[in-house]
Formats: sequence, C-alpha cells, structure tokens
Amino acid sequence: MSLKFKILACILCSFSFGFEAHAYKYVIITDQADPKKSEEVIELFKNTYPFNTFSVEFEILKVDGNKLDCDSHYGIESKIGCKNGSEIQSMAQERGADQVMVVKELSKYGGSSAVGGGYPVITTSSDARVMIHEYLHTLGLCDEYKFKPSEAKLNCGTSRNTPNLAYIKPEDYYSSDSDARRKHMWDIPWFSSISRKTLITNSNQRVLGTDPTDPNSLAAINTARFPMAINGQANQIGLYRAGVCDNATPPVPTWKPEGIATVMSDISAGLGAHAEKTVDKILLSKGIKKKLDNEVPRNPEVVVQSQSQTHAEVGSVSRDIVNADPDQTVNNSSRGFFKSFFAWVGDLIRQIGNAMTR
Amino acid sequence: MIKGLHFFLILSVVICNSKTSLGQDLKKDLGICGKTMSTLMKFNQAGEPVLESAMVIEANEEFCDGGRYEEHANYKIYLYDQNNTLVYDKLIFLNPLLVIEKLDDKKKGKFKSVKMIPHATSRIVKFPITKMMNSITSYKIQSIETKQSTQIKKIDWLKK
Repeated sequence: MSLKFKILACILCSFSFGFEAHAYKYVIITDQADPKKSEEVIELFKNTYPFNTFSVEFEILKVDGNKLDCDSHYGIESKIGCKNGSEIQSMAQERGADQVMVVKELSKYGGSSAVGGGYPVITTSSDARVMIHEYLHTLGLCDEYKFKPSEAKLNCGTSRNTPNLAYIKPEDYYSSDSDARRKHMWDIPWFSSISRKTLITNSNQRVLGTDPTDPNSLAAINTARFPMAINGQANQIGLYRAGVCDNATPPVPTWKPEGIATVMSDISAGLGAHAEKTVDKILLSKGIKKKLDNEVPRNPEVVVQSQSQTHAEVGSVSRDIVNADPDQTVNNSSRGFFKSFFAWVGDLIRQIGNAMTR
Repeated sequence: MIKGLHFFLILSVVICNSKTSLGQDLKKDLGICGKTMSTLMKFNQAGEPVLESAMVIEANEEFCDGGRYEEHANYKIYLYDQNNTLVYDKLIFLNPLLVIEKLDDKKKGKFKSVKMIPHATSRIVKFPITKMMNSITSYKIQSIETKQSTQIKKIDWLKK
C-alpha cells in the first residue's frame, strides 16, 4: 500500500509541477527609434515589487509615429492622449498581448502622460516611473495628490470609492475608535488591512482619521522580491486625510491608506505597503502566475519587433522572457485541470495555515 | 489511506462537474483550459460596450483562465455557442476614465495638472475555448454596476 501511495503521489506531483501555461504578456508599443524609454520601463517593472514576483513576458513593438495618434488632444496643448486606441490594441492583440503600454516619442516640457481605461501612455520625455503610476490607474487606483479648484470641480463629482481612495463624510463626534470602525468599516475599501492596533481616529478617539505622519516623506522604492516591511507608525496602514478634493466646492473629504506620499502622488516615491498589497492581489486575480523562487531569467535580452515583420517572423523571434517556460507542445485540459486543482489545494492549505497562526 | 485518497479525487471531480453552488465556486478557482480566444472589447461611454473583434491564437501553450474573476470587476461578459447556449462568462475590470496628467517637472516627481474624462476605450480580454464549448458565435456584456446588459450580438471573427 505504501508503494502504491508513493507512485500515486509522484504522478500527482508531476501533474502539479510539470505544467505551466500561458505567461502573461505586456506589449510596449513605441515610435521611439531607439526604444530606450521602453527598455527603461521594462527594467523598472522587473525591479519593482510586486511586479518582479510575477511570471510575465515583455515585448517592445516599434511602429511609425503616425501609428500612435497620441499628440496633444482634448483641447489642451501638452496633454497627451491617444485617439486611435482600438488600432493600438489591435496591433498588440496580434502579438498575443494581454496588456498594452504606449511610449510616445515627444519632447514636451516636463513630459505628459495619460491612461486610457485599458492601457497606460507616457511620453519619452517622462521618467519611466510615470508608467508605474499610469499602470496603477489602469488597475483602478486613484491619484492621491490635491486637485486644483478647476480640476476638483471636474474630477470630484463622482465620489466613488477605489482601492486607495475613500470618500467619507466624517461625523462630528465618535464615542471611541470602535465606534468609528463600526460606522465606517464598509466605507473603507482597505479596512481589512488596518491593524487592530492602528486607530482610525485621532489620539483622543473622537475625530475621524489616523494621526498624520510626515506628509513630505516618501514611500521607499522597493526593489526586493518581498513586500515592504511596516515600520511602526511611519508607514502603517490606516485612514489618513488625502485632501484630493479639498478644493472642490463644497470640499469633499477623501481618505487614503497611507500617511506618506506614494507613487500615486509623487513619482519619486515607491508604491507603499498598501498599493503593493493591492496590486499583488489584482495581478493574481488577472490570472498572472507567481515566479518560482529559484527562477532565473533564461533569455535576458530585450527583443524589439518592428511592425513590418510578418507573423511568421514574429513567431520565430525570441522574446524578453522574465520567466522562460519550458516548451509545451503537448497539452490537454485534464493536465490543466490537475495543475489548477493542486494550485487550489495549495492555496487552501496556505489559507488554513494562515488562519491557524493568526 | 489510499482508498481515502481515491475517494477524495473522485469526490473533487464530481463536485467540479456539478452545477451546484459549491461546484461553481470550485470552477471559479480552477479555471478552464483551452485554446486562446483573444478579443478586443470596446467600451463606449455613450453607447453600448461592444466586442470589436476576436481571434484564436494558436500557441504551444494552453490558456488556463486563472483570471476569470478580476478584482473590482465592473463588467461581465457572456459567450454563447451556435445553439445560443451560454458556454462561458468572465468578470473584468476596466477603468472607465481617461486620466490625462502633466508633470510639474521632468526631474521632480510632482504632478502639475490632471483631467479625468469619461471616454470610450478598449482592452484585450482573453478567453479559453474548449471542445465542450462548441463554436462560439455570440456574446453579451453586462455592467455590474447598473445590471444593464447589451443584446446578444454576433462575434466578428478575425483570421490571423
């Protein structure tokens, strides 16, 4: 019986570990002749948590400038937005992309950036870190900086909670922190991430809002392959006044999870502990697989495609593969089923373990 | 012990093939594997969301749709076969706003201005296709927020 069990266990293990399908693919479309900015973006993603923990492919697709109709639009000089979104997406779709990014050759002062709901855009004169900010918009995160009165008038009309911004009108008085928690737990999207030890009210527990930290300090840029450590009060997740819509008439109180500046308000900053956690969760929900701990990029060079290449050529060209999967020529649903099944069982065991250690 | 393991495996297959809520929950986690159907979804602010095009991508790798239930999803997409039978659905998130931002300075990290516009946009959404699904011919998109659905429409297949 013991031998039978071992054989069965080996078969099951081979099903669960010997199969990996469909790496998530980012295609960066650019009209920059020497696609340095796109390469910078790729390097940045490869070295920023949590993006660096996922098994993804990147491909740079070079196109003529007229294929990226992304110059000044929307009646405002120096603001960038692409008009031909469907064509841009189609080009990437033909390359098997899951997510498109656009790097537009432009030398406008300061650099502009835009994000369509479906894909982020930056200019070549922008810092590559702007792509992280814009991609986080694509994933549903909001800006955390204060809008000017004219902007607040336009942008603060829809008070819709997002993963990193809550619109809560505080009450005049709370009897305790527990009282505030009870009243607002459903209004705070990140409520489950707030430690029981962290107050969502001030120190006397009568006014809503965690005591502010230094608003000028920036979240550290995290290049490690593990989440940022929470260092006491400095970057603890709580309920902080965001001030995004303070210039609206009347002012709309907004709240954010971190007291320090994150990449959603200043591109020099890191994602911050909360955004790291949120992005990790969103990417997992998109079906992107985590890298194995011992994984080493097998094919480090970035391969650049020009749009004129035929499909046959595209198929034969190697790509910049962060996680090079073994060639899978034979595949069937049952193997996928078992792989998914064991991934699920693994998650279940992990969850039970977490619950027991809590 | 071996009997217990057999029972566990058989039970899991039975549950996963069932149409009970437990079975549905498990399918949600397991995903379904097949060829890759890559679609381009266009979401109009004024009009109905549409599936602009669809193509099957012949790849060595099978597409196991672990991303069937996206976080913060605001749309649900339904696929139908030639008999108008629902064969697959998927929850996806699409940021409904176009956010146009300008930086204060190239070297500094502050943003100078922002404009948010409700704007038609598009994104690539992938689906798995298996033999069990027959030929997929039509689709429907539902807004999770408003619960409103489009009519069932034909899919425009592209040949790659």
